[in-house]
Amino acid sequence: MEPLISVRNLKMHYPIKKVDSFTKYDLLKAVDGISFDLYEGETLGLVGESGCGKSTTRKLLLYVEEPTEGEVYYHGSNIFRMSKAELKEFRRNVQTVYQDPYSSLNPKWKVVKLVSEPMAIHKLGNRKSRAEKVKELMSLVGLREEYADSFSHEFSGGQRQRISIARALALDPRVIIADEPVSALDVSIQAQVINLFEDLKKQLNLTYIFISHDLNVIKHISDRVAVMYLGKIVELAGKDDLFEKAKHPYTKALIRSIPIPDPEMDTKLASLEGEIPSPINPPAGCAFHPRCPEVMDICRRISPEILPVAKGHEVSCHLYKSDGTT
Amino acid sequence: MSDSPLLQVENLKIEFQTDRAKILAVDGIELALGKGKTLGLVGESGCGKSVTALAVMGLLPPHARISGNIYYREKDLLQLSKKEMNSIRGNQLAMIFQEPMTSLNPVFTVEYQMAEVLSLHKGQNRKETRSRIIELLSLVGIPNPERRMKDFPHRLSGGMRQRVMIAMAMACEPDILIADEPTTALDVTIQAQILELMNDLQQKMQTSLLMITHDLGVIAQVAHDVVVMYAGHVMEYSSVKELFADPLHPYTRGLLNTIPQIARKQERLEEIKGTVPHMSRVPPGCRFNDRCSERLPVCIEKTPPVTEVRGRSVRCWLYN
Repeated sequence: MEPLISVRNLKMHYPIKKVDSFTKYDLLKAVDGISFDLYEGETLGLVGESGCGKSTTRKLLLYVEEPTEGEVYYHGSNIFRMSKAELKEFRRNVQTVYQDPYSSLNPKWKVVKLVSEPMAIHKLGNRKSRAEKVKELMSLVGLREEYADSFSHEFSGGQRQRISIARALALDPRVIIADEPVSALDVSIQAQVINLFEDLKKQLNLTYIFISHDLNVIKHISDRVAVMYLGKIVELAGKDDLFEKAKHPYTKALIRSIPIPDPEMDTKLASLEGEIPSPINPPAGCAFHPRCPEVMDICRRISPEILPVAKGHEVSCHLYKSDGTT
Repeated sequence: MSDSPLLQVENLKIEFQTDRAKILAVDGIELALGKGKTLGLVGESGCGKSVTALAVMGLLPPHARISGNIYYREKDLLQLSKKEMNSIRGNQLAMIFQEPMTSLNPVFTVEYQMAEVLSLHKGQNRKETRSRIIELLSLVGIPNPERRMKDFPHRLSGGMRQRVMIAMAMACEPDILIADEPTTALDVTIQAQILELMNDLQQKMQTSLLMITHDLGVIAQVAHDVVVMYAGHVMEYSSVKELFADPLHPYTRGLLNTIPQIARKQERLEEIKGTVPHMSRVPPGCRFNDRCSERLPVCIEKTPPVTEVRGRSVRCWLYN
């Protein structure tokens, strides 16, 4: 099957001024050579700890920023080479939902304006037809139509996130990139919003890239999962493979560090040694080697390539060779 | 729980007067924390868990109206003078907060800030203080403490800052440590480290821990007893094992079912309908009645009393 979006060797290096020099720059390697495909109708989870490059990846996928290197293909054409008109069409099809529903909605606007703004920008319909569409969208995301003339401060966090989702759906997109959409919500509200995402996907045939640091959420919603560490994808696999047959030592550690809500389970939280290194001067070789419990000599020198170890299961680790043996 | 608890909260009510209304943030809660034990306080935003912690520490703003009793070693903390409270706070009662960056002063070094605690409560000289700081920092697992203590907080990562906060809280070997969402701002692998550290320290020093969090996973790992709060009320109070094995209150049951779990296969997450009410608009009767899946007619009319069920307490009409 043709992928909807393919990402090839995407890199984003931000120059950061050195503290002790006027002219020299360090490079912050926020995203450092990632590749993956997104297929129609799937949910791809992107998981990792802070500073691993998940949000920068989102920015690049939407062409908010120009990457240092690499390509993103949408239906086979590179979005960084698109004309203005093509890009506008692309952005109509690929929409986003942000983490914080408090700062991503303009407090001076009513819901009807917030949700219809994308349509106005893309010059779809007239004011009346847009207002109709807003009502449709509101009932779709589970908000009562009467609230169309309310301001966002009148809503709770979960309802605001519903407004953000309605806004993202206003242009009938095919792909939604959601960046930590439930992290700011209370636990009892999280489930509502996650269920809404799943219902909408079925109803509207959407494709999701779901970015989160919460492995429980990622496991629940994703079909395939990519684990990122310091700007690189260290493991990419189907959900069940990843959570049951994790290969990369980092993925294993990540899964083991989640506190399980069951006091009978005597899990000594296996914690990794050390901290996430700075992406400005990442360790040589494999970026994970200073924290890796299975570090070998080669890991300190050579950065591993990401290689398939089984069908649909790619790992970037010297422990594994491409035929799946260790 | 043979001997009397170290900290006992009885019928605590906290009220705030705002321009528009009186808000009863905490409405008659009871807690007991034994020596060396961990009590978990769970609830969603606005349920009153942080306000309770601040009341114990005596850190509520002056316009808060507090009634009830907070007993610590037979003394009622609410009756103490400011001076008496100051000598207990930081010395026998210590607290760590969620966001370690905002609770450390950015313009002073770690050493300076830690020395302040020690000189205030222990009156040690500079040399003793310095060696004690180094000892504390290495206790909480900060590598190179001689060098790191000269750093300003912005030079430390989030996990390191939380370690410094813990070192500072443990400086006077307190009887009770109150931790308000101590790992919420941290990454999972760092969270695991911090939880392990707190566990080790508790075992070493026999500190009692009041752990406030919204994360039931964390609670299951660290707590002995759990208090579930909702809109200023204690909904359920029981041992951690019983709570997870057999949750009594529909709210607790709902909470346990809504969280996605790696260990379980779930087709669709169960929801708790509606939203967390604002404290100025709590429904009459049982505060959870508008979201409850097992609502009875009586729930809308009268607030359920706290009932004992098999040695556990629960506030729900289903058990009356």
